[in-house]
Amino acid sequence: MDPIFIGLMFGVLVSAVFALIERREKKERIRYFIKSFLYFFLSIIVLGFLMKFFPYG
Amino acid sequence: MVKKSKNEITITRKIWIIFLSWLFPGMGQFLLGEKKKALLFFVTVFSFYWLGIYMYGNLTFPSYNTQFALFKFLGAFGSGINFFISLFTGLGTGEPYKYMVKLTNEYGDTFIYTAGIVNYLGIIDCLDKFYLRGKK
Repeated sequence: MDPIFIGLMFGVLVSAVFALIERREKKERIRYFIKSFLYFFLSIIVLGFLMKFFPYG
Repeated sequence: MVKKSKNEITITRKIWIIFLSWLFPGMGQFLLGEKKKALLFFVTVFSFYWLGIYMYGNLTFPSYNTQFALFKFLGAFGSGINFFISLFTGLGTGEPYKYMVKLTNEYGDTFIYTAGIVNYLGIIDCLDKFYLRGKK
C-alpha cells in the first residue's frame, strides 16, 4: 500500500473525528478540519522525508 | 415529587449506551441521535483497525516482562468488537516475531492503537452529551 495514501487516510480520518468532537459550529468544524489535516499531512511528508536518511534496523 | 425532565437519561441507559459505544464503535452517537457522527466513528475505527492488521500490526497482551504492553493492550482493546474478531480469527495474534520482521509492523501497530483511542474518544463524547443534556 502506498505510504502517501496511508498518511492521507490517517490525516483525513483523525482530523474529521477531532473536528467533530472539538468544535460545535459547522463553519468552525470545517476550518478546524482543514487546518489539522494540513498539519498532519505536512508533518507526515516532512518526517517521512527525514526518515529516508536513517537506515532500517 | 420532582418531575424528571424530558432530556434526562437514566443511569442504566447511560451505562448501556457506553458499553454499546465501546463494543460497536459509533453506536453511542447513533443511540443519542447523531447519525453522521456515528458513521464517522464507525468508519474511522474499523478502517484504522483493519488497515493496522493489513500492515502486519499485532496484538499485545499484558505481561510481567514488558511493562508498556499494558498500554498497547488497552489501545487495541478500545476498538471493541474488532479486537474480538481478531482474537476469533487469529489475525494479528500468534508469534510476535512473525510480525516484527515485517517493515510495516510499527505502522500497523500505531493504526491499531489509534483505532482504540478514537473509540475511547467516542465514549468520552457520549459522556459529554449526557452532561450537556443534564444542563438543559
